[in-house]
Amino acid sequence: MKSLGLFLRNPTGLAGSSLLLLVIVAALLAPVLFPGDPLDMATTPFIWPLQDPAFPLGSDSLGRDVLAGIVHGARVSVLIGFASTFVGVVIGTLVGACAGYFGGRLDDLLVRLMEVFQTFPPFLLIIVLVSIAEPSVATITAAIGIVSWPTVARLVRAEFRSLRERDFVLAARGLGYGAARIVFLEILPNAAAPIIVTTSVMVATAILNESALSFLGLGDPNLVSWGSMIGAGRDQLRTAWYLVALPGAALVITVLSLNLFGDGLNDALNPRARGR
Amino acid sequence: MARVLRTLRRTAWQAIPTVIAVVVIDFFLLRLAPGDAADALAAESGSATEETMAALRAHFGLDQPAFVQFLSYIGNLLHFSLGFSPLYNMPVSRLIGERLPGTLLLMATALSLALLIGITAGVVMSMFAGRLTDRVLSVIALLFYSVPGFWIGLMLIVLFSVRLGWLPSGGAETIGAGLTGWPWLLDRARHLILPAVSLALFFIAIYARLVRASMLEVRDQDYVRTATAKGLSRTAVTLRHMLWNALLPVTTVAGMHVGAILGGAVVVETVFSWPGLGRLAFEAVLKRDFSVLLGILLLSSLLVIAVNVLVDLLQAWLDPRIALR
Amino acid sequence: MPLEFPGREDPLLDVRDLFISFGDNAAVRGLDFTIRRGETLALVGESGCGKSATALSLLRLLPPAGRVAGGSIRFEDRDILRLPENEMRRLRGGAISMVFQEPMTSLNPVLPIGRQITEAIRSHERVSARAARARAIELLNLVRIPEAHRRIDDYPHTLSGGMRQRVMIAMAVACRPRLLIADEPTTALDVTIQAQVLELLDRLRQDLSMGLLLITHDLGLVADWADRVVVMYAGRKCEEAPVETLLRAPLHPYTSGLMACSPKLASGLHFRQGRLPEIGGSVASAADVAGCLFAPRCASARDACHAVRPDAKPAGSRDHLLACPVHAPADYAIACC
Repeated sequence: MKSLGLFLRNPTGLAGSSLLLLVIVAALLAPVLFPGDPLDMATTPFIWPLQDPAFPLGSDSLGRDVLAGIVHGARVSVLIGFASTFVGVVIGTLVGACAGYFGGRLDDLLVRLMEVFQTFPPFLLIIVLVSIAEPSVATITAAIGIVSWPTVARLVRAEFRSLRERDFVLAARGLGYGAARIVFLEILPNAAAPIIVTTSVMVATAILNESALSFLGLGDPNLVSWGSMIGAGRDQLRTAWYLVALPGAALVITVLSLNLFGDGLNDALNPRARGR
Repeated sequence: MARVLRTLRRTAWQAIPTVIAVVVIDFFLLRLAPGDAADALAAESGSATEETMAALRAHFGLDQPAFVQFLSYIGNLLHFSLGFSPLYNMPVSRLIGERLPGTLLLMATALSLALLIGITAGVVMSMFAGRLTDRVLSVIALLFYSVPGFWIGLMLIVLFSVRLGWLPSGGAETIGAGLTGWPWLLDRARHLILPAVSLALFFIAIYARLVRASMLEVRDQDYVRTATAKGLSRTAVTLRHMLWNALLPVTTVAGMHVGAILGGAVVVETVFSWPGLGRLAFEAVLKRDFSVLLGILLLSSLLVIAVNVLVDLLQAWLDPRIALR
Repeated sequence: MPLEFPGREDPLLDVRDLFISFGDNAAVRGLDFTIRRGETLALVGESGCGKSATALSLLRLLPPAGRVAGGSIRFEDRDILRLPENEMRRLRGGAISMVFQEPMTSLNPVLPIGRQITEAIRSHERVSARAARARAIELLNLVRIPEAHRRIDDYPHTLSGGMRQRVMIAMAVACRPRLLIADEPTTALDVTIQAQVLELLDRLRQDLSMGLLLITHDLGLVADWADRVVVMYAGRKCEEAPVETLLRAPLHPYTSGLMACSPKLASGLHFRQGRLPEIGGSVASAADVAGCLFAPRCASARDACHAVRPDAKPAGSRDHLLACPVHAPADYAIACC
């Protein structure tokens, strides 16, 4: 609760969370604000922004509403960003907790596994996985999750290694609690702060990765996403650069809000960094 | 020097199991991929009978059991062969070999830019920590940290190529200009600027933030006080005593990011039509040529492992205490 | 008429009415002392009494949170607190240098020791790299590092604590300082090494005729190596005297308490049976005290002690100062007014 107060008094965190809230609300309300498929033609092509009040951000080469595209695009970004991070955090926490808590041979093996996964260039591995499995929201989410778990696992492992010898853990062991109970109810809550901070950065990274994938044409073909809008607008870069600039700006604002949010969280949760 | 060599031997030895695991995963991903080279070739030519398909499969050894194929895959790797790309009609290793220098040049330029600017910015931020200079630079760093490389690349093209016409919008050199000597080098450099900057921005932000934090950590160390007590100037204390120690964590992170830079290069290369591995990977995805794609993945992983060995050596050189571990 | 304090005639270092604070907390509250050329002054007190803050303030090396809130520090004819930064820099490691408490962390781990010595020399004098290196070897010989010409390229982590402290001392005396500040120079070292290091410091003091400010919590060291002693408590001076006087007849109850804590001195001291060789309470109890700062821990404190804060005044002889009216000899009150 003290951390929450600190977080809310932190201008960085507050700015980040307000922007983030805006993006999430846009994603949730997209079908209400802009009913109908944003991929359908809505007006004449190539209306520049601020020309037609009905289409404040203009239209693209196929006459699609750019604003509707951006608002609907938020859905894909937010969905894949949070879902893939969830996948990564769950795998990473399980692996990291096992490695850090049990130690020994299991630890050696799992650390090796993390090393192997971290030698694959993450984005290249995502491309390979998505193109093997055919692009869809589910496969993209899984691919980004698979690539991101080692970061969490390393962090959780380090936390568990330092926490497992603490008095409260030894006391729990003395009471005869099982490993699962100690890991999830005793140690994990104490390791939560750094995991939460990392999570916000992971969501940001996942959103960047998704946008790069759809920019390359490896996104879900049935959904509009900021990356695919930028990819489509690229062909008109010389004549209608706003088609690239606007969805990109939405992307930057979203990722920036997550990073601000993460910095704010870090300041509030990490007492060592406070006052720096 | 003996210490550095010892480190080399130890880290190279430790890398071997990782290399083996990477090869195994790479092979199984290849097996998982839908279709094979024969399918791809058939799709390309548009007409293929069952018999010609079978003949093609036998030719590439695709009709063998998985284990045999794995052994022949390993055998090929030991001869530095990554298989044959029917689409490009040349060995995958030669294809990659042709594109690798372009990517290495781009990565090296971007990494140097990122380290140079990032470390400088980080030092400046730490010297003015909490003051206006620090705040402004921190905001810029956070912005760089949030901008996707492919988008900033496109925006740079709009500004510097389309509007101002100062720099070329793509390619690695002016085709057919027949330049030699200095004009050729200058032409290459002009083509390199925009892609390298697009790729570097994110990493500038990372290093700036890291160096700042690391410098602040080092600032409170006893030996920094000793250096000041000796009567050294602030510059000497900052550069000789603080920065050297603050760089140790930076080398670790820089090594960890080589894979990320490679991934970033894939996207940036397609934006700037830069002839490198990234664009080759993209083409391979579009043409569903998985032998090329997985060859690139394997080679990139080996590159990352090699860089990490180099980083360990660099650290042994930077930090005399390391060999004691 | 200002009182004539001992050592006030042409002192090397003259500190008057020094106040140092860290945020709202006062670390030093009105401290006076002087050091003459070639003399060893010991500044003694428990940890937290402001000794180290005092030492750091002499070179203007206080951490960002701390600041000198008042008073003056004169070194020779210079006003340390008003010196421009570049002149201050020339003074540091030049005319005044310092040896720190932690030899393990006070040397830069990634630079060879020779390099750390030569850079001290070359930041003060225009000498060639070769000449500086030759002098660094000479200095390492001077502080009795065996095989100095080979060890000069070693990194700090290959040296023992005692050796590192010798390197620190070599570095400190590299430019023949006139004042050497040694802040708990032997606290982090083995007992067997302590005497060697102090002997070395004392020899260097004689050879280079430096003033030496020896900061310590151990009155036992003081007996062997100091000329005069200033006993500090909670940022103020309780007692000051030549070392023989102080050890023979300590007046302040805090001094007696410290002596009882020192195994070496306690054996010769006659304290009443049943009294623990340990002063109860801690310096923290001095935080909000109006009167004598030591009163909350003092067994013989009276009502007046809690109301009036005593200043150090001559007691018995001109060079014996005491800040305690209760334990003062008969002539104390007269001398004070």
